[in-house]
Amino acid sequence: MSEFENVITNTLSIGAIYALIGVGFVVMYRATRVVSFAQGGFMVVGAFLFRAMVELGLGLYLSTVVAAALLFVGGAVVFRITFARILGEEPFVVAIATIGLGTFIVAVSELIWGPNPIVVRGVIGTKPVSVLGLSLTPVSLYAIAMTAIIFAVLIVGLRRTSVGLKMRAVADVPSLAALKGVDVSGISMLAWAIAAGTAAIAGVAYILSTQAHPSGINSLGLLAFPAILLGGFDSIVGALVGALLVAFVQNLAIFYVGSQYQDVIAYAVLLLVLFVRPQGLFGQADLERL
Amino acid sequence: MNLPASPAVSRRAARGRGRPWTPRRLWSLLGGPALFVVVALFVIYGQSGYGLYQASIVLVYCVVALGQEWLTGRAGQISLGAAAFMAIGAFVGARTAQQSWAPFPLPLLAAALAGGLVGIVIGLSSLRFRGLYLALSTLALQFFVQFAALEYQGGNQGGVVPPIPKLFGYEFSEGRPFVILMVVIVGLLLLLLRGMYSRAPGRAWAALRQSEVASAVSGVDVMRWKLAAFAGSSAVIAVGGCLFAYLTGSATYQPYTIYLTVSVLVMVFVGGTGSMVGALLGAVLVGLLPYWIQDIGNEFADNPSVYAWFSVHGATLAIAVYGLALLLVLVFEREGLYGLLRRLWLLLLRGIAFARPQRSEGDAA
Repeated sequence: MSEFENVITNTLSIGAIYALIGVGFVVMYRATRVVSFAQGGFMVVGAFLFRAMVELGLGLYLSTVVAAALLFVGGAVVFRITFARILGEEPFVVAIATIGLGTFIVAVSELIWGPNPIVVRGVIGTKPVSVLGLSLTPVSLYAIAMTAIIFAVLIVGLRRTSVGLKMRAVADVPSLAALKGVDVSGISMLAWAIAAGTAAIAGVAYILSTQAHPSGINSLGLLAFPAILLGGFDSIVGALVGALLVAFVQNLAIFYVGSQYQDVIAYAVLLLVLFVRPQGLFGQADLERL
Repeated sequence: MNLPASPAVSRRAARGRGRPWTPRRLWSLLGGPALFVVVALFVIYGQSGYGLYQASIVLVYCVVALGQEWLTGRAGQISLGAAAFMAIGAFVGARTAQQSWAPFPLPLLAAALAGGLVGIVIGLSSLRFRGLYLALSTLALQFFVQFAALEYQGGNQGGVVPPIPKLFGYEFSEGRPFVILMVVIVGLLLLLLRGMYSRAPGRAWAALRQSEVASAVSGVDVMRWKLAAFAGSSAVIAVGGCLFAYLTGSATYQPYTIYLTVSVLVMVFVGGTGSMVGALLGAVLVGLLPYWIQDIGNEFADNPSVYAWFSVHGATLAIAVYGLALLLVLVFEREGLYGLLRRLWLLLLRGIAFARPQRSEGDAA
């Protein structure tokens, strides 16, 4: 396999994970204007729950679904008992609160399941599959498939359903949406649930591809920021495109410059975007507030 | 916002010229420093061995927390760069301290200068970005500094080792001498910051925090004061980093992760934003909580399984408590520990005030 082919396959599998982290972030940002630093934390919990389900013998698909569903509910509950109270307050304060939440849930997961790397073996094959001339491992194929499903559901759901319409109304002008009878708090809760659920799936995809410490998974939540910014904070399609582009640049750096540059290069992209086009490729330009 | 029409008049008023020396004014002016001196003397002479080491950590955290509080609490700017600025201060300071031409206070000044310069660069980006974008550019700084520190250190596991600070032949070695040094530094810093916050700069930052547009309209030079806050706060945090390198004996890349930044945010927000006492309380909490948890574990010395659990998971438990505290403070009690304590104090005062008339009634009967 040529090096460039390697770059492409790695871009797809890493990009899929960034996209899954990013899409939850975008959904939450659109509905509640909350900048979440807790996505990494939800990933850690999702990964641990997935492993627990696999150990119970639930199999790959069912374990993924159960982990995502538990986090979906968990995200809603967390929102209801804490963040619903500070909905619409200073974005800066809410962002710091999400840092607290992320730190807390990672630490609690480590207390429950231990700080060792999360390893899940034997639920998915290792023999590469040839797709469109690219040789993909079943793990990346699974990550890509989950990403495709999530994005399809969210894009169609937000464009075609009444819930999606309400979510967009809340994103535009919360007060006006409330006047029109939209349950703003309920919509925000749904956004939190989706964000946590998709982050759980990102966590599942990540620990299937490599074994990682909980803190390493948590840091990956921060590495998704360049991708989200590049795509545009409030664009779901942007989250996908940004994720693939950043993953591509990172993999170019890994294969042709040196793997120690991968994190720095992602944040160099972030700075470049900040200076050249802060609204990102697909975002709206009016995002002056946090 | 309390912006006066005439700066000359306000300056006189702020310094209190012509006001009588009432006990209340004396208390507000000297009460804080007196309390600080009493606590400091208690720590220096009442503690020994391990207690002095814990005090050193807490005092270094105090410097960092005061620096972060300057930017976040006073000027209202979001920054996730605390660990990065600490790393800059640690490496620049430790490297300077190794030079023969740089006797003790000079490394601290070098750290402050380096931190201040980088702070100005980040501050310049804050003129362009606000809120989230600013947070992300400081996060980028974190990744760059971490990378640079790793590359600079290379295979050198020991890091940059600074010599023990020495002033006029007196060595501030670990233990009581270092604590004395730290108490002096924190005391001077507190005096400096209090002086600034109660005068024009403090008012400018308070205005900036509430509304940049409104403060610009009221004649506050937004750019100047923003840059000043970034430069000053980063310089203080960098000095904290340099002192941290002195305390731990070397500057290495390992401690300066994003998690350190999170603990600095915990100090500022859980302690209570907008007050120096809050930042100090936060530093004490973050510095001592792991030891308190250890103490709880030691209570179970006769129960090996519980004891083992605490020794393995104690540090993680402390992090869980910080995280939860940060979340709960921002959701339920915005003023943090300081706000809670002040409210308790007011309740107590009201209780006393309530008790007095009852007693006089009793006397009358």
